Amino acid sequence: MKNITDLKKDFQIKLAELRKKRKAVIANFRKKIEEAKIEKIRASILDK
Amino acid sequence: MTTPENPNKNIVENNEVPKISPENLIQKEISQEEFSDYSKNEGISFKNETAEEMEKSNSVNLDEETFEKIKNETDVEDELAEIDKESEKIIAESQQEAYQDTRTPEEITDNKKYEERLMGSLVALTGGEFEKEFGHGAKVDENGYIIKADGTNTMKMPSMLDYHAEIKKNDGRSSDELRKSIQEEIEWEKNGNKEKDTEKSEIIEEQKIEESETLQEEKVEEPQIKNETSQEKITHLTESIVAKESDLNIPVEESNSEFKKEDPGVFTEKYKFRKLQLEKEALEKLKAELIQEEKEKILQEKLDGIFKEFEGLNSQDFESILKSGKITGGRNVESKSIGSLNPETAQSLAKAFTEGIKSLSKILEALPEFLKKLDEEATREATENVDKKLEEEKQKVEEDQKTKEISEDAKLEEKPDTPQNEVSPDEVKFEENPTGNNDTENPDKQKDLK
Repeated sequence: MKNITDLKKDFQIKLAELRKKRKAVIANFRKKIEEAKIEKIRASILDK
Repeated sequence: MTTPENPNKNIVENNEVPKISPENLIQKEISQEEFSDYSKNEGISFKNETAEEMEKSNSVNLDEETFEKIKNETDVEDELAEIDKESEKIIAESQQEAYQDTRTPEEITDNKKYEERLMGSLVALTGGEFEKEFGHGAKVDENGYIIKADGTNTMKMPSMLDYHAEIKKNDGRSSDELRKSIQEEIEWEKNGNKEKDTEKSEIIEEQKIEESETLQEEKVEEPQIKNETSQEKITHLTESIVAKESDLNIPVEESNSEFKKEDPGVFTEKYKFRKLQLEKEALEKLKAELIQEEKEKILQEKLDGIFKEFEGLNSQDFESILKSGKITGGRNVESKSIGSLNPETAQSLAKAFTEGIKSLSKILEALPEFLKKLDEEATREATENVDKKLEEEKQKVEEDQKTKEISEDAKLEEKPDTPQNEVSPDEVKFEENPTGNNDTENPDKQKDLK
Protein backbone atom coordinates (compact mmCIF):
# COMPACT_ATOMS: atom_id res chain seq x y z
CA MET A 1 0.00 0.00 0.00
CA LYS A 2 1.34 3.45 -0.94
CA ASN A 3 1.76 6.10 1.72
CA ILE A 4 0.13 9.50 1.28
CA THR A 5 3.34 11.22 0.25
CA ASP A 6 3.84 8.76 -2.58
CA LEU A 7 0.23 9.11 -3.53
CA LYS A 8 0.62 12.85 -3.69
CA LYS A 9 3.66 12.50 -5.90
CA ASP A 10 1.81 10.18 -8.26
CA PHE A 11 -1.11 12.54 -8.27
CA GLN A 12 1.07 15.52 -9.17
CA ILE A 13 2.74 13.62 -11.96
CA LYS A 14 -0.60 12.54 -13.41
CA LEU A 15 -1.92 16.06 -13.23
CA ALA A 16 1.25 17.42 -14.82
CA GLU A 17 0.78 14.98 -17.70
CA LEU A 18 -2.73 16.23 -18.09
CA ARG A 19 -1.54 19.83 -18.13
CA LYS A 20 0.91 18.89 -20.84
CA LYS A 21 -1.89 17.35 -22.86
CA ARG A 22 -4.02 20.45 -22.36
CA LYS A 23 -1.18 22.71 -23.38
CA ALA A 24 -0.80 20.80 -26.64
CA VAL A 25 -4.52 21.10 -27.40
CA ILE A 26 -4.53 24.83 -26.74
CA ALA A 27 -1.29 25.39 -28.65
CA ASN A 28 -2.79 23.67 -31.67
CA PHE A 29 -5.91 25.79 -31.38
CA ARG A 30 -3.92 29.01 -31.05
CA LYS A 31 -1.88 28.09 -34.09
CA LYS A 32 -5.05 27.78 -36.11
CA ILE A 33 -6.32 31.10 -34.79
CA GLU A 34 -3.07 32.80 -35.72
CA GLU A 35 -3.09 31.26 -39.18
CA ALA A 36 -6.63 32.52 -39.73
CA LYS A 37 -5.62 36.00 -38.57
CA ILE A 38 -2.66 36.07 -40.94
CA GLU A 39 -4.93 34.95 -43.74
CA LYS A 40 -7.35 37.76 -42.95
CA ILE A 41 -4.60 40.36 -42.93
CA ARG A 42 -3.26 39.02 -46.22
CA ALA A 43 -6.72 39.19 -47.76
CA SER A 44 -7.28 42.75 -46.58
CA ILE A 45 -3.93 43.87 -48.00
CA LEU A 46 -4.74 42.29 -51.35
CA ASP A 47 -8.13 43.94 -51.23
CA LYS A 48 -6.71 47.46 -51.05
CA MET B 1 -8.39 22.44 9.67
CA THR B 2 -6.40 24.57 7.36
CA THR B 3 -5.40 23.80 3.82
CA PRO B 4 -1.84 22.60 3.71
CA GLU B 5 0.69 24.86 2.14
CA ASN B 6 1.54 23.42 -1.21
CA PRO B 7 5.32 22.98 -1.29
CA ASN B 8 5.24 22.62 -5.06
CA LYS B 9 2.99 25.60 -5.57
CA ASN B 10 5.31 27.40 -7.93
CA ILE B 11 5.81 24.33 -10.02
CA VAL B 12 2.18 23.39 -10.29
CA GLU B 13 0.36 26.69 -10.53
CA ASN B 14 2.07 28.14 -13.55
CA ASN B 15 0.70 27.51 -16.95
CA GLU B 16 4.07 26.18 -17.88
CA VAL B 17 4.19 22.42 -17.87
CA PRO B 18 5.88 21.62 -14.60
CA LYS B 19 8.89 19.41 -14.75
CA ILE B 20 7.95 17.03 -12.03
CA SER B 21 10.10 14.12 -11.17
CA PRO B 22 10.58 12.25 -7.92
CA GLU B 23 13.85 14.13 -7.41
CA ASN B 24 12.53 17.66 -7.51
CA LEU B 25 9.41 17.10 -5.44
CA ILE B 26 9.71 18.30 -1.90
CA GLN B 27 9.03 15.56 0.59
CA LYS B 28 6.51 16.41 3.25
CA GLU B 29 4.40 14.05 5.29
CA ILE B 30 0.74 14.92 5.08
CA SER B 31 -2.44 13.43 6.44
CA GLN B 32 -5.27 11.84 4.48
CA GLU B 33 -7.47 14.84 5.04
CA GLU B 34 -4.79 17.26 3.98
CA PHE B 35 -4.22 15.26 0.83
CA SER B 36 -7.94 15.18 0.19
CA ASP B 37 -8.18 18.97 0.51
CA TYR B 38 -5.05 19.43 -1.54
CA SER B 39 -6.27 17.27 -4.41
CA LYS B 40 -9.63 19.04 -4.41
CA ASN B 41 -7.90 22.41 -4.59
CA GLU B 42 -5.75 21.17 -7.42
CA GLY B 43 -8.86 20.02 -9.25
CA ILE B 44 -10.44 23.47 -8.92
CA SER B 45 -7.24 25.19 -10.04
CA PHE B 46 -6.93 22.84 -12.98
CA LYS B 47 -10.37 23.70 -14.27
CA ASN B 48 -9.87 27.41 -13.67
CA GLU B 49 -6.66 27.25 -15.64
CA THR B 50 -8.47 25.55 -18.52
CA ALA B 51 -11.07 28.31 -18.57
CA GLU B 52 -8.40 31.02 -18.39
CA GLU B 53 -6.39 29.47 -21.19
CA MET B 54 -9.47 29.35 -23.37
CA GLU B 55 -10.22 33.00 -22.62
CA LYS B 56 -6.72 33.98 -23.62
CA SER B 57 -6.69 31.87 -26.75
CA ASN B 58 -7.77 34.68 -29.05
CA SER B 59 -4.67 36.71 -28.33
CA VAL B 60 -4.46 37.96 -31.91
CA ASN B 61 -7.93 39.54 -31.78
CA LEU B 62 -9.34 37.44 -34.56
CA ASP B 63 -12.91 38.44 -35.30
CA GLU B 64 -15.48 36.62 -33.21
CA GLU B 65 -17.16 34.90 -36.12
CA THR B 66 -14.00 33.27 -37.48
CA PHE B 67 -12.87 32.48 -33.95
CA GLU B 68 -16.11 30.63 -33.23
CA LYS B 69 -15.86 28.84 -36.56
CA ILE B 70 -12.38 27.55 -35.79
CA LYS B 71 -13.48 26.62 -32.29
CA ASN B 72 -16.24 24.46 -33.70
CA GLU B 73 -14.05 22.95 -36.38
CA THR B 74 -11.29 21.97 -33.99
CA ASP B 75 -13.60 20.67 -31.24
CA VAL B 76 -11.19 22.31 -28.82
CA GLU B 77 -13.90 22.75 -26.19
CA ASP B 78 -14.83 19.09 -26.25
CA GLU B 79 -11.20 18.08 -25.98
CA LEU B 80 -10.66 20.40 -23.02
CA ALA B 81 -13.82 19.17 -21.34
CA GLU B 82 -12.53 15.64 -21.75
CA ILE B 83 -9.23 16.63 -20.13
CA ASP B 84 -11.09 18.28 -17.25
CA LYS B 85 -13.04 15.08 -16.81
CA GLU B 86 -9.83 13.10 -16.70
CA SER B 87 -8.60 15.39 -13.92
CA GLU B 88 -11.77 14.62 -11.94
CA LYS B 89 -11.14 10.94 -12.42
CA ILE B 90 -7.55 11.25 -11.22
CA ILE B 91 -8.74 13.11 -8.13
CA ALA B 92 -11.44 10.58 -7.31
CA GLU B 93 -9.04 7.66 -7.77
CA SER B 94 -6.34 9.28 -5.66
CA GLN B 95 -8.78 10.03 -2.89
CA GLN B 96 -10.07 6.51 -2.92
CA GLU B 97 -6.57 5.17 -2.66
CA ALA B 98 -5.71 7.66 0.08
CA TYR B 99 -8.56 6.55 2.27
CA GLN B 100 -7.72 2.88 1.75
CA ASP B 101 -11.19 2.03 2.82
CA THR B 102 -14.32 0.74 1.26
CA ARG B 103 -15.36 4.06 -0.20
CA THR B 104 -16.29 3.66 -3.82
CA PRO B 105 -15.84 6.43 -6.39
CA GLU B 106 -19.62 6.95 -6.10
CA GLU B 107 -19.34 7.59 -2.40
CA ILE B 108 -16.51 9.99 -2.99
CA THR B 109 -18.62 11.73 -5.59
CA ASP B 110 -21.51 11.94 -3.13
CA ASN B 111 -19.29 13.39 -0.50
CA LYS B 112 -17.95 15.91 -2.96
CA LYS B 113 -21.47 16.77 -4.01
CA TYR B 114 -22.38 17.29 -0.39
CA GLU B 115 -19.49 19.64 0.19
CA GLU B 116 -20.15 21.56 -2.97
CA ARG B 117 -23.76 22.04 -2.05
CA LEU B 118 -22.76 23.19 1.36
CA MET B 119 -20.40 25.62 -0.27
CA GLY B 120 -23.21 26.84 -2.50
CA SER B 121 -25.03 27.81 0.68
CA LEU B 122 -22.02 29.54 2.05
CA VAL B 123 -21.52 31.62 -1.04
CA ALA B 124 -24.91 33.13 -0.37
CA LEU B 125 -23.89 34.08 3.15
CA THR B 126 -23.14 37.68 3.84
CA GLY B 127 -23.45 40.09 6.70
CA GLY B 128 -24.91 39.38 10.12
CA GLU B 129 -23.41 36.65 12.22
CA PHE B 130 -21.11 35.65 9.43
CA GLU B 131 -19.40 39.02 9.61
CA LYS B 132 -19.30 38.83 13.38
CA GLU B 133 -17.38 35.62 13.01
CA PHE B 134 -14.98 36.70 10.30
CA GLY B 135 -15.02 40.48 10.50
CA HIS B 136 -16.88 43.17 8.62
CA GLY B 137 -16.71 42.79 4.85
CA ALA B 138 -15.83 39.10 4.93
CA LYS B 139 -17.13 36.96 2.13
CA VAL B 140 -16.84 33.47 0.71
CA ASP B 141 -15.14 33.24 -2.63
CA GLU B 142 -16.00 30.80 -5.38
CA ASN B 143 -13.45 28.27 -4.19
CA GLY B 144 -14.86 28.21 -0.70
CA TYR B 145 -12.26 30.32 1.02
CA ILE B 146 -13.39 32.94 3.44
CA ILE B 147 -11.84 36.20 2.35
CA LYS B 148 -11.61 38.81 5.04
CA ALA B 149 -12.09 42.49 4.34
CA ASP B 150 -8.34 43.10 4.40
CA GLY B 151 -7.97 40.53 1.61
CA THR B 152 -6.43 37.81 3.76
CA ASN B 153 -7.55 34.29 3.23
CA THR B 154 -8.78 32.11 6.08
CA MET B 155 -7.51 29.10 4.17
CA LYS B 156 -10.54 27.14 5.24
CA MET B 157 -11.98 24.75 2.76
CA PRO B 158 -15.65 23.95 2.28
CA SER B 159 -15.55 20.74 4.25
CA MET B 160 -14.55 22.68 7.33
CA LEU B 161 -16.56 25.76 6.69
CA ASP B 162 -19.75 24.19 7.89
CA TYR B 163 -18.45 24.43 11.39
CA HIS B 164 -18.70 28.16 11.15
CA ALA B 165 -21.28 28.21 8.49
CA GLU B 166 -23.98 28.17 9.71
CA ILE B 167 -26.51 28.69 8.68
CA LYS B 168 -27.84 28.76 12.12
CA LYS B 169 -27.05 32.30 11.16
CA ASN B 170 -29.26 32.00 8.17
CA ASP B 171 -32.33 30.05 9.05
CA GLY B 172 -31.92 28.92 12.61
CA ARG B 173 -30.75 25.41 11.81
CA SER B 174 -27.75 24.00 13.57
CA SER B 175 -24.75 22.67 11.72
CA ASP B 176 -25.88 19.08 12.31
CA GLU B 177 -29.37 19.80 11.09
CA LEU B 178 -28.00 21.37 7.97
CA ARG B 179 -25.71 18.43 7.22
CA LYS B 180 -28.57 16.03 7.76
CA SER B 181 -30.87 17.92 5.46
CA ILE B 182 -28.29 18.10 2.66
CA GLN B 183 -27.56 14.40 3.03
CA GLU B 184 -31.25 13.61 2.91
CA GLU B 185 -31.60 15.74 -0.16
CA ILE B 186 -28.79 13.90 -1.96
CA GLU B 187 -30.22 10.53 -0.93
CA TRP B 188 -33.61 11.58 -2.09
CA GLU B 189 -32.19 12.39 -5.49
CA LYS B 190 -30.41 9.07 -5.66
CA ASN B 191 -33.57 7.20 -4.86
CA GLY B 192 -35.38 8.82 -7.72
CA ASN B 193 -38.75 10.19 -6.85
CA LYS B 194 -39.35 7.90 -3.90
CA GLU B 195 -41.22 9.82 -1.31
CA LYS B 196 -39.53 10.08 2.03
CA ASP B 197 -41.66 12.81 3.35
CA THR B 198 -44.77 13.65 1.45
CA GLU B 199 -44.92 17.29 2.38
CA LYS B 200 -41.23 17.89 1.77
CA SER B 201 -41.38 16.01 -1.49
CA GLU B 202 -44.15 18.20 -2.79
CA ILE B 203 -42.22 21.38 -2.14
CA ILE B 204 -39.03 19.95 -3.63
CA GLU B 205 -40.91 18.55 -6.59
CA GLU B 206 -42.24 21.98 -7.46
CA GLN B 207 -38.80 23.51 -7.33
CA LYS B 208 -37.32 20.75 -9.40
CA ILE B 209 -39.89 21.04 -12.13
CA GLU B 210 -39.08 24.73 -12.40
CA GLU B 211 -35.37 24.06 -12.46
CA SER B 212 -35.62 21.26 -14.98
CA GLU B 213 -37.55 23.56 -17.27
CA THR B 214 -34.77 26.08 -17.04
CA LEU B 215 -32.22 23.39 -17.64
CA GLN B 216 -34.12 21.98 -20.58
CA GLU B 217 -34.16 25.41 -22.10
CA GLU B 218 -30.44 25.69 -21.55
CA LYS B 219 -29.92 22.23 -23.02
CA VAL B 220 -31.85 23.19 -26.12
CA GLU B 221 -29.94 26.44 -26.39
CA GLU B 222 -26.46 24.98 -26.24
CA PRO B 223 -26.30 23.12 -29.57
CA GLN B 224 -27.95 26.04 -31.33
CA ILE B 225 -25.42 28.45 -29.95
CA LYS B 226 -22.58 26.34 -31.28
CA ASN B 227 -23.63 26.85 -34.88
CA GLU B 228 -24.55 30.50 -34.60
CA THR B 229 -22.50 33.42 -35.71
CA SER B 230 -21.15 35.60 -32.95
CA GLN B 231 -23.84 38.18 -33.44
CA GLU B 232 -26.59 35.59 -33.39
CA LYS B 233 -25.03 33.98 -30.39
CA ILE B 234 -24.90 37.21 -28.48
CA THR B 235 -28.42 38.06 -29.51
CA HIS B 236 -29.53 34.65 -28.34
CA LEU B 237 -27.76 34.93 -25.03
CA THR B 238 -28.99 38.42 -24.47
CA GLU B 239 -32.47 37.17 -25.01
CA SER B 240 -32.10 34.90 -22.01
CA ILE B 241 -31.60 38.01 -19.87
CA VAL B 242 -35.22 38.73 -20.49
CA ALA B 243 -36.17 35.17 -19.63
CA LYS B 244 -34.26 35.28 -16.37
CA GLU B 245 -35.38 38.72 -15.33
CA SER B 246 -38.58 37.44 -13.82
CA ASP B 247 -36.58 35.13 -11.54
CA LEU B 248 -34.24 37.88 -10.51
CA ASN B 249 -36.94 40.35 -9.70
CA ILE B 250 -37.82 38.38 -6.57
CA PRO B 251 -36.26 40.32 -3.71
CA VAL B 252 -33.68 38.36 -1.76
CA GLU B 253 -35.57 38.77 1.52
CA GLU B 254 -38.74 37.52 -0.05
CA SER B 255 -37.11 34.49 -1.58
CA ASN B 256 -35.35 33.75 1.70
CA SER B 257 -38.50 33.90 3.73
CA GLU B 258 -40.22 31.73 1.20
CA PHE B 259 -37.64 29.03 1.59
CA LYS B 260 -37.17 29.36 5.30
CA LYS B 261 -39.88 26.82 5.87
CA GLU B 262 -37.51 23.97 6.66
CA ASP B 263 -37.00 23.41 2.98
CA PRO B 264 -33.81 21.56 2.21
CA GLY B 265 -33.73 23.08 -1.26
CA VAL B 266 -33.16 26.54 0.20
CA PHE B 267 -29.42 26.49 -0.26
CA THR B 268 -29.56 25.30 -3.81
CA GLU B 269 -32.08 28.03 -4.48
CA LYS B 270 -29.78 30.66 -3.08
CA TYR B 271 -26.94 29.36 -5.17
CA LYS B 272 -29.19 29.36 -8.20
CA PHE B 273 -30.26 32.90 -7.44
CA ARG B 274 -26.68 34.09 -7.19
CA LYS B 275 -25.81 32.21 -10.35
CA LEU B 276 -28.65 33.93 -12.17
CA GLN B 277 -27.44 37.30 -10.98
CA LEU B 278 -23.96 36.62 -12.28
CA GLU B 279 -25.39 35.29 -15.51
CA LYS B 280 -27.47 38.41 -15.92
CA GLU B 281 -24.45 40.62 -15.44
CA ALA B 282 -22.52 38.61 -18.01
CA LEU B 283 -25.37 38.79 -20.49
CA GLU B 284 -25.75 42.51 -20.04
CA LYS B 285 -22.07 42.84 -20.79
CA LEU B 286 -22.63 40.84 -23.94
CA LYS B 287 -25.46 43.13 -24.90
CA ALA B 288 -23.15 46.11 -24.55
CA GLU B 289 -20.62 44.34 -26.77
CA LEU B 290 -23.32 43.69 -29.30
CA ILE B 291 -24.26 47.36 -29.33
CA GLN B 292 -20.62 48.25 -29.81
CA GLU B 293 -20.35 45.84 -32.75
CA GLU B 294 -23.52 47.24 -34.24
CA LYS B 295 -22.19 50.75 -33.80
CA GLU B 296 -19.00 49.90 -35.61
CA LYS B 297 -21.04 48.37 -38.39
CA ILE B 298 -23.13 51.51 -38.70
CA LEU B 299 -20.06 53.75 -38.75
CA GLN B 300 -18.42 51.56 -41.36
CA GLU B 301 -21.58 51.76 -43.47
CA LYS B 302 -21.57 55.53 -43.21
CA LEU B 303 -17.95 55.55 -44.18
CA ASP B 304 -18.61 53.29 -47.15
CA GLY B 305 -21.46 55.63 -48.07
CA ILE B 306 -19.31 58.73 -48.20
CA PHE B 307 -16.60 56.95 -50.16
CA LYS B 308 -19.22 55.95 -52.67
CA GLU B 309 -20.25 59.58 -52.88
CA PHE B 310 -16.61 60.54 -53.46
CA GLU B 311 -16.53 58.06 -56.33
CA GLY B 312 -19.53 59.80 -57.87
CA LEU B 313 -18.03 63.26 -57.63
CA ASN B 314 -16.56 64.97 -60.63
CA SER B 315 -12.80 65.32 -60.53
CA GLN B 316 -13.00 69.08 -60.03
CA ASP B 317 -15.06 68.81 -56.85
CA PHE B 318 -12.95 65.97 -55.52
CA GLU B 319 -9.70 67.86 -56.17
CA SER B 320 -11.20 70.84 -54.39
CA ILE B 321 -12.08 68.71 -51.35
CA LEU B 322 -8.58 67.30 -51.32
CA LYS B 323 -7.08 70.77 -51.38
CA SER B 324 -9.45 72.79 -49.19
CA GLY B 325 -11.96 70.38 -47.69
CA LYS B 326 -14.71 72.20 -49.62
CA ILE B 327 -16.37 71.60 -52.96
CA THR B 328 -16.01 74.07 -55.79
CA GLY B 329 -17.76 77.28 -54.91
CA GLY B 330 -16.45 77.14 -51.34
CA ARG B 331 -19.37 75.19 -49.92
CA ASN B 332 -19.00 72.54 -47.20
CA VAL B 333 -19.38 68.94 -48.27
CA GLU B 334 -22.93 67.71 -47.71
CA SER B 335 -22.91 63.94 -47.48
CA LYS B 336 -26.06 61.87 -47.75
CA SER B 337 -24.74 59.32 -45.30
CA ILE B 338 -22.97 61.54 -42.77
CA GLY B 339 -24.43 64.98 -43.23
CA SER B 340 -22.48 68.20 -43.30
CA LEU B 341 -18.71 67.79 -42.98
CA ASN B 342 -16.36 70.44 -41.75
CA PRO B 343 -13.50 71.15 -44.21
CA GLU B 344 -10.87 69.42 -42.09
CA THR B 345 -12.81 66.16 -41.77
CA ALA B 346 -13.82 66.22 -45.43
CA GLN B 347 -10.21 66.77 -46.47
CA SER B 348 -8.93 63.95 -44.26
CA LEU B 349 -11.59 61.57 -45.53
CA ALA B 350 -10.77 62.45 -49.10
CA LYS B 351 -7.09 61.81 -48.42
CA ALA B 352 -7.91 58.46 -46.83
CA PHE B 353 -10.00 57.65 -49.86
CA THR B 354 -7.17 58.37 -52.28
CA GLU B 355 -4.79 56.29 -50.18
CA GLY B 356 -7.23 53.38 -50.23
CA ILE B 357 -7.78 53.37 -46.46
CA LYS B 358 -11.34 52.33 -45.98
CA SER B 359 -11.41 50.50 -42.70
CA LEU B 360 -13.05 52.20 -39.76
CA SER B 361 -10.24 51.51 -37.32
CA LYS B 362 -7.65 53.21 -39.57
CA ILE B 363 -9.88 56.18 -40.18
CA LEU B 364 -10.49 56.57 -36.47
CA GLU B 365 -6.79 56.53 -35.80
CA ALA B 366 -6.31 59.40 -38.21
CA LEU B 367 -9.57 61.16 -37.45
CA PRO B 368 -10.66 60.76 -33.84
CA GLU B 369 -13.06 63.68 -34.16
CA PHE B 370 -14.88 61.76 -36.85
CA LEU B 371 -16.05 59.32 -34.21
CA LYS B 372 -16.95 62.15 -31.83
CA LYS B 373 -19.23 63.66 -34.38
CA LEU B 374 -21.03 60.46 -35.18
CA ASP B 375 -20.79 58.63 -31.91
CA GLU B 376 -24.02 59.79 -30.31
CA GLU B 377 -26.07 59.18 -33.38
CA ALA B 378 -24.49 55.79 -34.08
CA THR B 379 -24.94 54.68 -30.46
CA ARG B 380 -28.60 55.59 -30.53
CA GLU B 381 -29.10 53.82 -33.81
CA ALA B 382 -27.15 50.74 -32.68
CA THR B 383 -29.11 50.51 -29.42
CA GLU B 384 -32.36 50.78 -31.32
CA ASN B 385 -31.28 48.08 -33.76
CA VAL B 386 -30.19 45.74 -30.98
CA ASP B 387 -33.37 46.31 -28.98
CA LYS B 388 -35.42 45.68 -32.06
CA LYS B 389 -33.55 42.48 -32.79
CA LEU B 390 -33.98 41.36 -29.20
CA GLU B 391 -37.67 42.05 -29.29
CA GLU B 392 -38.02 40.00 -32.46
CA GLU B 393 -35.98 37.20 -30.94
CA LYS B 394 -38.05 37.35 -27.80
CA GLN B 395 -41.28 36.97 -29.69
CA LYS B 396 -39.83 34.08 -31.61
CA VAL B 397 -38.63 32.36 -28.45
CA GLU B 398 -42.00 32.86 -26.79
CA GLU B 399 -43.78 31.38 -29.74
CA ASP B 400 -41.42 28.42 -29.79
CA GLN B 401 -41.95 27.90 -26.09
CA LYS B 402 -45.68 27.94 -26.48
CA THR B 403 -45.45 25.34 -29.22
CA LYS B 404 -43.11 23.27 -27.08
CA GLU B 405 -45.37 23.49 -24.04
CA ILE B 406 -48.37 22.43 -26.04
CA SER B 407 -46.55 19.42 -27.48
CA GLU B 408 -45.14 18.54 -24.03
CA ASP B 409 -48.58 18.74 -22.45
CA ALA B 410 -49.87 16.41 -25.10
CA LYS B 411 -46.99 14.02 -24.40
CA LEU B 412 -47.55 14.16 -20.65
CA GLU B 413 -51.17 13.25 -21.10
CA GLU B 414 -50.11 10.20 -23.03
CA LYS B 415 -47.19 9.21 -20.75
CA PRO B 416 -47.48 10.41 -17.19
CA ASP B 417 -44.49 8.42 -15.85
CA THR B 418 -40.81 9.14 -16.41
CA PRO B 419 -39.16 6.15 -18.05
CA GLN B 420 -36.51 4.53 -15.89
CA ASN B 421 -33.67 4.90 -18.33
CA GLU B 422 -34.35 8.57 -18.94
CA VAL B 423 -32.52 11.24 -16.98
CA SER B 424 -35.07 12.65 -14.59
CA PRO B 425 -35.17 16.38 -13.83
CA ASP B 426 -33.88 15.67 -10.33
CA GLU B 427 -30.74 14.06 -11.58
CA VAL B 428 -30.13 16.84 -14.02
CA LYS B 429 -30.67 19.54 -11.46
CA PHE B 430 -27.82 18.81 -9.14
CA GLU B 431 -25.23 18.33 -11.77
CA GLU B 432 -25.05 22.06 -11.52
CA ASN B 433 -22.82 23.05 -8.70
CA PRO B 434 -20.55 25.90 -7.75
CA THR B 435 -17.45 24.41 -9.31
CA GLY B 436 -19.22 23.16 -12.37
CA ASN B 437 -18.31 19.53 -11.77
CA ASN B 438 -20.50 16.78 -13.09
CA ASP B 439 -20.21 13.82 -10.88
CA THR B 440 -23.53 12.11 -10.81
CA GLU B 441 -22.61 8.65 -11.81
CA ASN B 442 -24.59 5.60 -10.82
CA PRO B 443 -27.37 7.61 -9.28
CA ASP B 444 -29.21 4.45 -8.28
CA LYS B 445 -26.58 3.37 -5.87
CA GLN B 446 -27.41 4.34 -2.36
CA LYS B 447 -24.52 5.02 -0.08
CA ASP B 448 -24.05 6.62 3.27
CA LEU B 449 -22.17 9.82 3.31
CA LYS B 450 -19.19 10.23 5.48
